[in-house]
Amino acid sequence: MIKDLVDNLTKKNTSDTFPFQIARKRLYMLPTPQGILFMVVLFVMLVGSINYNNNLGFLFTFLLSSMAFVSLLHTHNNMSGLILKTGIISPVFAGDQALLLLTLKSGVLDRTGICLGFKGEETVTVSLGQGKERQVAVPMATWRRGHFQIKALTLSSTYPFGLFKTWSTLYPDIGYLVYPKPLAGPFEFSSGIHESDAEGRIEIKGVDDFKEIRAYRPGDALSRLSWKIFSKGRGLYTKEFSAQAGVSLMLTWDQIPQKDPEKKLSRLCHMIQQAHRMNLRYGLTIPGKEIPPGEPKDPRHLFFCLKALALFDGGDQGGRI
Amino acid sequence: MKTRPDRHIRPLVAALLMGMAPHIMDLPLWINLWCLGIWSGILLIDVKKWFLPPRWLWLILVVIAFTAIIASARGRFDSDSGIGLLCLMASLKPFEIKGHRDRMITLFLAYFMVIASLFFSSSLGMTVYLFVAVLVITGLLIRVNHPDMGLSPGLRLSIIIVAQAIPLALILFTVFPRIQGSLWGVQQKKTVLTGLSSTLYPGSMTNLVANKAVAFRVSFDSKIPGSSELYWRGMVFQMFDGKGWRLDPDPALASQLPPGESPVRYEVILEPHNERWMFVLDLPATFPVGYDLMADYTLMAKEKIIAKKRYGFVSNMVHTAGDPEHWDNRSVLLPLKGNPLAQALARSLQGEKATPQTIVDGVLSMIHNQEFYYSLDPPLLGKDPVDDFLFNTRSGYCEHYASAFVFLMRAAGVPARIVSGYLGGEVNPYGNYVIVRQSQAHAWAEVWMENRGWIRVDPTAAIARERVETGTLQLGLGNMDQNLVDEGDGGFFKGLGKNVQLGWDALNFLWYSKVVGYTAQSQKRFLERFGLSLSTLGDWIKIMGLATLLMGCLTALFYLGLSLKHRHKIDPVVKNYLIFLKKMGKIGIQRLPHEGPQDFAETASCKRKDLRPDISGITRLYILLRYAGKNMDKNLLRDFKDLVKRFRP
Repeated sequence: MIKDLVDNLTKKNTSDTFPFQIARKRLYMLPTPQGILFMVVLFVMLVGSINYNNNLGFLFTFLLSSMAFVSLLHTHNNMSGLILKTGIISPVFAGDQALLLLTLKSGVLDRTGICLGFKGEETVTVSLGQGKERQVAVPMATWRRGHFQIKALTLSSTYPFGLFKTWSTLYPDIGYLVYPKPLAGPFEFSSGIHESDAEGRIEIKGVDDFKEIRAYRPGDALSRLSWKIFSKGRGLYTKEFSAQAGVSLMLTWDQIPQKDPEKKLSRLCHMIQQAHRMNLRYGLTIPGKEIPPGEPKDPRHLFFCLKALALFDGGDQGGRI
Repeated sequence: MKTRPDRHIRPLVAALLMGMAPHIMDLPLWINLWCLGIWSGILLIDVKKWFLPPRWLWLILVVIAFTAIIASARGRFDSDSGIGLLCLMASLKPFEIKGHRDRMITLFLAYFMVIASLFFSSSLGMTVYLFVAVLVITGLLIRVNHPDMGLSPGLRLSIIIVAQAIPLALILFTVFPRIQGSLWGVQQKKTVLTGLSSTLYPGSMTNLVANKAVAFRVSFDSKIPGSSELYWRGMVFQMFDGKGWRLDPDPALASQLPPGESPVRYEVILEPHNERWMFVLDLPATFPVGYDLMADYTLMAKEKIIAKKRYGFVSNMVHTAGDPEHWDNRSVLLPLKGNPLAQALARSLQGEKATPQTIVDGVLSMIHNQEFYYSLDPPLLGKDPVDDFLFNTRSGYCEHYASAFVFLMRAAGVPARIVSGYLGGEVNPYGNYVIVRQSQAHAWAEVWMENRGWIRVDPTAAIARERVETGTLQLGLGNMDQNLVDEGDGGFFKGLGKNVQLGWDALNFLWYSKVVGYTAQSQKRFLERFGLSLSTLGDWIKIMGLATLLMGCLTALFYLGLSLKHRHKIDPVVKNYLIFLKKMGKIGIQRLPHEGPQDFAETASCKRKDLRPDISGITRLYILLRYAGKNMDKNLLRDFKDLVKRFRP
């Protein structure tokens, strides 16, 4: 609560760029609820010592208080000077957890129990020895497709006693893509540029022209096993097919029967993934954007297609239904 | 729902055990067994990976525990039952630990139990244990917060933090304002305390004969006086009832001090004896603050002494010339009946030429010359105890002699009284202070002489040495007769044991006088040494400000040390190259940001052809050293430094 208040008051308009070193002035500190309880316990001890004029009581009360105070410095040191070298987020499908991959560098001190997390999200805790570098994945839930800026990232630590919590809230300048959530369904496509007869609705079985037979590798689809060879007792072989050169599919907006544009995007997303997996040449047409078919298995092409879906904003005209 | 014990149950139970250990001796047996039983139970459950007992069982245990503690307190809820309750709560806590918060509470409970034991014992041994306990519990606190850290790094960190906290704690301890008295009533544990009795019936002191318990310890500001001079005045008996002596029921306060000289300043740490009297050397030279100085020059506390008491005092060792006026009728009063033989003896001492001095001398020489024995186990005395002692048993210790002597004096018309206290003391060579034990209890006499005042006479000292029973302790003789009544050579191990004991006593004494016995007065004295007075609120604010400043400085030092650690050690190669660049900069040749050392050397050489050999030499060496890594040639580095140093563009 107070933490939010502090964060709001100290929020800057500029964002933080990596590499980022946590400066002292960016660190705030508050007692934890346990820390407050500990202070109450210390107060009771102090009152008891005063009442009984018990010097050993004083001594140990002051020792514990001083330890709490010293621990505060240790808490502060545990975070101060920590370096966040890089941070990237790979695109994810809506509904999946996006992971911010951060590279932390400890600098000259040991770092223990550094807790990283986005506001309202799960946190991860890492420790790293002095002079070490380590990558951590900070999770973040996604709901909608689109391009987003990451939210406030909080690094906190209650090291060593759990009595005080120090934290620093960063606003890193990192964007990330969220693709639509894939929605399974029949594979619908319009023919590519070279074909004109393949229009309509077909079941894709992943079968094009038979290419060769090779030895079985774990993970091959059972349907592609050559049972003929197997039955002759010559072991397992897989039939390989290749996509027909020149044949390409266009996955188009208008062919999706669903009315809801988000559903359409989800269906297209699913089909792009399938087409990619099946080594097909595919292109994408959505209102306001057309991507011609690319090379099969080209990850960059896949990325462009999915990115187009993620960033789809209703098209220029009539796309918004 | 079935649950298993908390995953941190073992360190938590260990912490509670650390907290409970100092109480074991004070707690009733059943609480000890209860706690150990329950903790073993939960550890067993944890080891065997069983489930915790259902909640109703836990509730039943809670009810049983509380009922038992209430029943055993018998309606009197004192600090003992408080500790018992604390331990019972601690015993049941492990069953309901459900998360981080509960774990932390459990550890705080352990701290609290440790500190609570301070209100029962403040010995050095206990203090050492408490330090260890704080270290361990803190280590466990770190472990519970950072399970991946490991036990021994956690313990190491705990030691580091405690070490860093000690200076701050000492500053707080020194300057925190102490008050006299308490905030509310202090309930003190009732214990049987030994010490001098408030009556003196010859033979009654026997319970102290073998009591080696310490009565008090004294440190002197100057040289310790000889032990035969150490007459520790405690009580003065004026009233004789035919058998023994009683204290004045209505004592008056002293109105003036007895004149005297050669003052000694000393500080007494008195063990509690549950009475008001305090012990001072004969005779007081100052009026005390906070205590009463009585007309008979004994010192009384305002309240019964139930905890160790520390007080400083000044006494005059030479005080024969004193207070010629002060004596009252009571100092010659005797019952009319009883002890006729002693009365007759006293009358025979009174003659025409007799003075108080001759009467005293007469009795002392009688004790010395006749068959009087010193014995710690004398026969019991009959109906007329003085007669019986003087003419029949003739064997006894200080009480008998002092009693008979004062009786004779009074019967002879010389004002006299008995003083009870201690004589002598054992100098602890390890601490330069004196230990006075109960076995050194002593009684002596004082007689009043005209123009001289009250004169101390120790009739026990008049006994001929050959008639002191050997093998007895030095009861009633103090160290004065240590050469007479020797305990004998105890052999090497006994000697060693005694030395260890004395050394330990010295440490305890130091601990008490510096830390445990730190009172408002000692605080005042300590701070005055730094020129800080404590009279007004403003002074206090000033001291608090200074303390805060001091602690701030310590914190700053801590941080400074840290930032020094932060600063990277600059590579000497880089450092020297930077010097070279600076020298080049002075003659107007700047290295551009994009230029490597090689490029820079080339452009610089073009601009100043005359410097070419130096520049290229330095640059070559720099590159060589820079990429040499760890196996750098020391000579090469020296050449490089030399080259840079001699480079004068």
